[in-house]
Amino acid sequence: MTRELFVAHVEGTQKALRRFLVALCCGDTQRADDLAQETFVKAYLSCDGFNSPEKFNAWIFRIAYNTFLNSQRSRRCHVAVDEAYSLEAAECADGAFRYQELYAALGQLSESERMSVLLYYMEEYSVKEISEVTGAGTDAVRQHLSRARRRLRGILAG
Amino acid sequence: MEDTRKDDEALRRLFGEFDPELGSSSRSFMAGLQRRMEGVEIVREHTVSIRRRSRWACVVSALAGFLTGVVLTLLYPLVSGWIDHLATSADGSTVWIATGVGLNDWQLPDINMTMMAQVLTLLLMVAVVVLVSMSTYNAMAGRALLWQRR
Repeated sequence: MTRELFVAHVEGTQKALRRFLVALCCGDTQRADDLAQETFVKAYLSCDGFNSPEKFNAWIFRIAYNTFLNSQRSRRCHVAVDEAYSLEAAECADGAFRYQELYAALGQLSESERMSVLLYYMEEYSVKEISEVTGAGTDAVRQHLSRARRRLRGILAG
Repeated sequence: MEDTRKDDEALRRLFGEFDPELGSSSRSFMAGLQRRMEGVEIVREHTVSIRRRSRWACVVSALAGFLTGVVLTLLYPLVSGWIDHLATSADGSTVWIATGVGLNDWQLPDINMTMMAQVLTLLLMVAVVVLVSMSTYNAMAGRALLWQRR
């Protein structure tokens, strides 16, 4: 894949990926942008062997997920719901606090549950596609979605 | 089942409307990414260049080692004759070793000194070839690095 083609694909994907990473990082837009940059650089480094433009999005999201997991090893994103409500504006990157409750709810999920939920509802990936991106089996993905729905229902309703 | 469907719809609606403020504008993000990609390109070119020069240094050092080996092999009959002469005169000889307190008489063991001398000569030749090869490689690689820095 040439650099021009790669940049063209990135321009079409970057907003969706960054939005996705903001949700995955529970509202931390700076971290989301850093992860997005890292993801695209990693993708650029290995794009020579990539010859399926139609699978570009899924490929990018897979790299993004692995990049996110690597960065998670040194930090935790689980925040207690009570703590989430006391987040200051500086920590919650969305200054309007519109999605504070959602970020807090997402923070309660495990990385794999969060990933499955976001890919399913935000990016409208099928269970099979989510399985290909995360490397988990389809049954595992269904379990993640089911658990995530239960937890999100409890938190968002409350 | 009904609950699951309701949850499903609620979540689809929620995430469908999800449109957070991003860390920077798309233009700024892409400009930053392009800069990083240029950095990647520079490092890539540098790595390819270093690898190319390393390969060249390997070829030259192998050639130098080969030529050294050929020269030493051609000189071997000459050297071998000289070594044989030394070995023959050393067979059964007494070697005087001077120490700090006095002279010690050390009798050499009764072994085939000629064969041992030839083996030692061959080992020495191999050592010289290896040394020449390694020195040539270091010199070529060092020169390549200097050229690169210029």
